[in-house]
Amino acid sequence: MFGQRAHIRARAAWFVSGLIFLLAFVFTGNSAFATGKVKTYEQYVASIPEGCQPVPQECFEKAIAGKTFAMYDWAAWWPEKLYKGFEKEFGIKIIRDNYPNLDEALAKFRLNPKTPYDYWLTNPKSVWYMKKWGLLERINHDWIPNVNRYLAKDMKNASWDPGYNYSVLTTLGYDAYVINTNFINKNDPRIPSWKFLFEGWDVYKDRLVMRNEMNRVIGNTLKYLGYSLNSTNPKELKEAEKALVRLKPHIMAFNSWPKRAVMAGEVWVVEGIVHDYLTLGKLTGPKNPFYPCYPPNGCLLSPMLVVMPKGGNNPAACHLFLNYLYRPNNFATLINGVAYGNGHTGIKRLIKEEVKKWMTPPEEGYREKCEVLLPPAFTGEGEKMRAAIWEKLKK
Amino acid sequence: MAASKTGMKIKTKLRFLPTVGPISIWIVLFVFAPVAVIVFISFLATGPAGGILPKFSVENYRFLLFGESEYGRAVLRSILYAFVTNMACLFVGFPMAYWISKYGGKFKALFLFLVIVPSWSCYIVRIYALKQLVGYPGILNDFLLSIGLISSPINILYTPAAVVLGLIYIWLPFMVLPIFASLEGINPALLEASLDLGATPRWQFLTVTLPLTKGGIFGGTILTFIPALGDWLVPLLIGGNRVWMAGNLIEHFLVVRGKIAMASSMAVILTAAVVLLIYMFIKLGGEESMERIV
Repeated sequence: MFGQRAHIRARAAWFVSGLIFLLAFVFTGNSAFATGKVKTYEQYVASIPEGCQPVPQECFEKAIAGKTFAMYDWAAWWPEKLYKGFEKEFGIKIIRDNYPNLDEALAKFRLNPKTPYDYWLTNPKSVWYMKKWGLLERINHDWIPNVNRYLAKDMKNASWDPGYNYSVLTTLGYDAYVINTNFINKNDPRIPSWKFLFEGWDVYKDRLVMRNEMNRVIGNTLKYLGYSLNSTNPKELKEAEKALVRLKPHIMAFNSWPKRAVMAGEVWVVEGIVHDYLTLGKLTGPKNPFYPCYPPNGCLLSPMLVVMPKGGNNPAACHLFLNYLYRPNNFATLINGVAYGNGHTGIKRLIKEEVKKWMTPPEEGYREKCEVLLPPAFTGEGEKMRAAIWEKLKK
Repeated sequence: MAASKTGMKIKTKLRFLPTVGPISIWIVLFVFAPVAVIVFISFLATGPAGGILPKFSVENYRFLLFGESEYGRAVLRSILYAFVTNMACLFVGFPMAYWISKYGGKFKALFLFLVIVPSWSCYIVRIYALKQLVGYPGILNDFLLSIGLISSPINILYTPAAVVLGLIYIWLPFMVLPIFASLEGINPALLEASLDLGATPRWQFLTVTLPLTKGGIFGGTILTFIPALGDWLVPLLIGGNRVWMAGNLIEHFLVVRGKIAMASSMAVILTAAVVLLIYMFIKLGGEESMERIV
């Protein structure tokens, strides 16, 4: 009897001590992280790599005092090394939350404007809406000297953020199409024009996937027809509707990231951001079967921008991170990982050859032919007409 | 005397409080309150940038019900798909439940376990499993191609038929279980009596077994019809988002267009349609048999 009690007591003691250990682990998590490689501002300044500049002391101290940094971005896209390196260097714990798509992320802010994120990687549409609702913090340009130095001049006061007050560009995606060369001959005379995507079903045999994003699909259809993808002209949009209705029987599915189907060879042509298919191609085998097609008359340009929502608790950490990201070595890590276009002027020599082929179109000056989605497309009558086309397409 | 009676009544009521209380609070907080919020928002006006304006309006309902749009069609399509799913589940599920109940013997539990076990996995995992099964490359197409029955793969995925197939696959267990329960509840003496009175097996099934399992059929119908009607993941993943159901339309309003009030109105219309249909089911199925199955 006594032995049994002792046994129960011993078990209870183990259980309680285990629980205490668990709680201690959970609650001391932040402070364990608060010991980064860089402990003081002087140490930080001394450790800055050549060609880079530190953030001002005020920014550094505020960021460190905040202890945590809440990020809201895509899952499994940017190299993890970047986040880990930041945590390790500054001892600031990154709390990451991911979204499945940017519309859903915007809906989150629409429903709960004070969502506490310090950093949000987003698109021009969200920047426009968030600005309109007064939900964005202004960027303090004095706190991001590396961005000031390395970001190309034409990316600083661009159409998506006139005045360059609320966002900082990270990557530039070309939203065109990709073919799988195991099934499609890239020497088809219609490739790489939009004509192949919109009329080449005799070749791709209905194995086409279009993005499940209204504005992008309709925008590229307008581009195929030779119009601006921000058009609000009812006649031009009617033509786009007809082209899409004609194409629909040949569209296998609407999916913005058909990874499994593309890798399995179920899909032969996919409309989307071309750079993503370099990373996917690497997973399919030693020879990348995907070929990026940049239509000669241009395509949709998708800038990914960092903004600071008003509900954030540590905006200084966002500045510190941006400054860290724009160090050439770190930015090259990013671009070598995602193969996207960008506006960084100091990383050319650090980029791998295969990535160079995928990150920008081969044609010089191609970017000027491309367009970014702007408010006429996603607000007012432009939005209504696009929604009507989209709803008809899904009937 | 009267005072002590009242005291007794209160005491009796309080006895149930620890058991009924928490679940009542749960239902009020997580069922009624959200529905009330949705109904409230559905009667607010939509702002120019999609936000909600604090102004009473029935414009959303007018637009959805009587406007020139594809919305009514999406709701009707959802009802049609849910109906077809329901019927298919019934025609597959009833024989299944009947066989398990009548011939399952000591393996009844095992068979029921096999019916239930797919539901233990995540909903999305089941959808992807089906994609692997009927897609190309996929088990079914590879098999048919290898035995030479077909010369090119069949396109099953990303069609309206695939959506219905997906819905049947997901919701079938919810039809089998209530029917099985009602079959198990039939008094064997009634079946024997019908045979003694000269009924053939077919006549016995039609006049005794089937009426006595009415509750199970209607229970299963409710359990499959309602979720099938509001489903949006199956059309998205198995239907390739080529054809919308009502759930996809709600998502389109809320996420893509950011029209919260409009999405709420659509949700209220869909809920109202479901409530009406349940009412009809109960009236048709008989409240008594429904209570029995519940």
